[in-house]
Amino acid sequence: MSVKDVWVRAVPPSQKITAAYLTIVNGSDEEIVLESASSEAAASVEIHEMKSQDGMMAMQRLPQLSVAAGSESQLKPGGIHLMLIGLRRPLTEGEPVLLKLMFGGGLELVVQAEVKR
Amino acid sequence: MKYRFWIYAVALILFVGISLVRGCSAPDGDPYKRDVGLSGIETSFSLKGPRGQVFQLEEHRDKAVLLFFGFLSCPDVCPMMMTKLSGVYSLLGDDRDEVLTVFVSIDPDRDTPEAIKEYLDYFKIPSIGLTGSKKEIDEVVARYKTYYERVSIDSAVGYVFNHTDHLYFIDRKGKVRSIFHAEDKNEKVAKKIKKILDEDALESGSALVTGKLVYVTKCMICHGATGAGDGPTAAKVSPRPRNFLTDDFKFVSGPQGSLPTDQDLFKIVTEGSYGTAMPSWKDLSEKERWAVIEYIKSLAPERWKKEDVHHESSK
Repeated sequence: MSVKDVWVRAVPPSQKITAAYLTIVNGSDEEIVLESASSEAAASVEIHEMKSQDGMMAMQRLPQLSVAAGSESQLKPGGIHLMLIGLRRPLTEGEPVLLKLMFGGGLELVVQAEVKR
Repeated sequence: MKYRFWIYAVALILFVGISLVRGCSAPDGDPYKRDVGLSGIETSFSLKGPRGQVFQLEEHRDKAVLLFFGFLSCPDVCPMMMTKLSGVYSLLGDDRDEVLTVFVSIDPDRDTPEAIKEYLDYFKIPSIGLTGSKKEIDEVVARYKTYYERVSIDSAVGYVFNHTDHLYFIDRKGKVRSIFHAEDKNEKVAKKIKKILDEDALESGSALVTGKLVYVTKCMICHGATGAGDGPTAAKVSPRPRNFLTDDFKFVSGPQGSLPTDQDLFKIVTEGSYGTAMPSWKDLSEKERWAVIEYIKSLAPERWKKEDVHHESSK
């Protein structure tokens, strides 16, 4: 299992909220489940999904995210994303953010996210 | 028994179906439609700008406008829209300064005018952010035939808004010419905007060409080549022909000393001015009469710059 293309959307200094995107590649033969996440840069991190239906955009929180065996899940703009709420510091382009991903079975992974627009 | 079960099942499906449709319905009960059409959108409105000042859309007719609704604590779609607009502006090239982005916040409880300004400035495009009371915002939302709903979700963010992704392109006359959506490619959006700007420039250019032809053949002999009221026959007529550059106008629908509206000018051109050498030009087509008015105003562009805005709609 690996995580790639990790980035966080840079926002103006006063913004207290942003989104993180990444791709989870599950090369194993078992389903893996992203249960929660956290970050040194935000008070809380949640999994959210933006859904667009006939031009109506609706955001909902997902309790967890499953990635089937041998497949990958892309978290990208306009779809599923990690929402960083209560930013503790301004996110500056070029200064990375650490994200901790907690998977089912006690597996934890710390990844470095690039901050970009 | 089986029969009754199916009635219940169908009733339940209908009920759920209706609930889903209602979930996406406009406040007046009409089902929400993505394709709102371009006609019938009354674009003018007034909301509060970044320093709390009143912003009226119709006072910004020197630029075309890209308008959308959103809220700042939207981490995904709204920054995507702004990033998209940055991309579109860079594709617009020389036309970049012809278009003003107007962001209307639907979250007056959280989005302060200062925060909105900082947010927009971050993306470095010509833009202004607006807000107002919920009632004021709802009125604008209704005018634009769009829709949003505030939804509480189980999240540290508290509440979010479900809203549409309409990006309205409004021309200088205040007419919606196109509605773009989130999935439209930047190239497509920029191309369409450039096309509309070019068409409009051509149209107003051709009015000026027609107007100049009319002016040179009918008006110049008295009013002069530059509009200073000093044509070859000016000295022979009394009262002297109007100097369009500096004189006050006598026949104005507004207060004395104000500039005439296009309608005022049209009346004089059509009927002439009794007791002066100004004849009636009612034999010219209406199009020619409007065109010559545009041309006369173009002789003193600074003078008519602001007034144009208010009188455009009276045609």
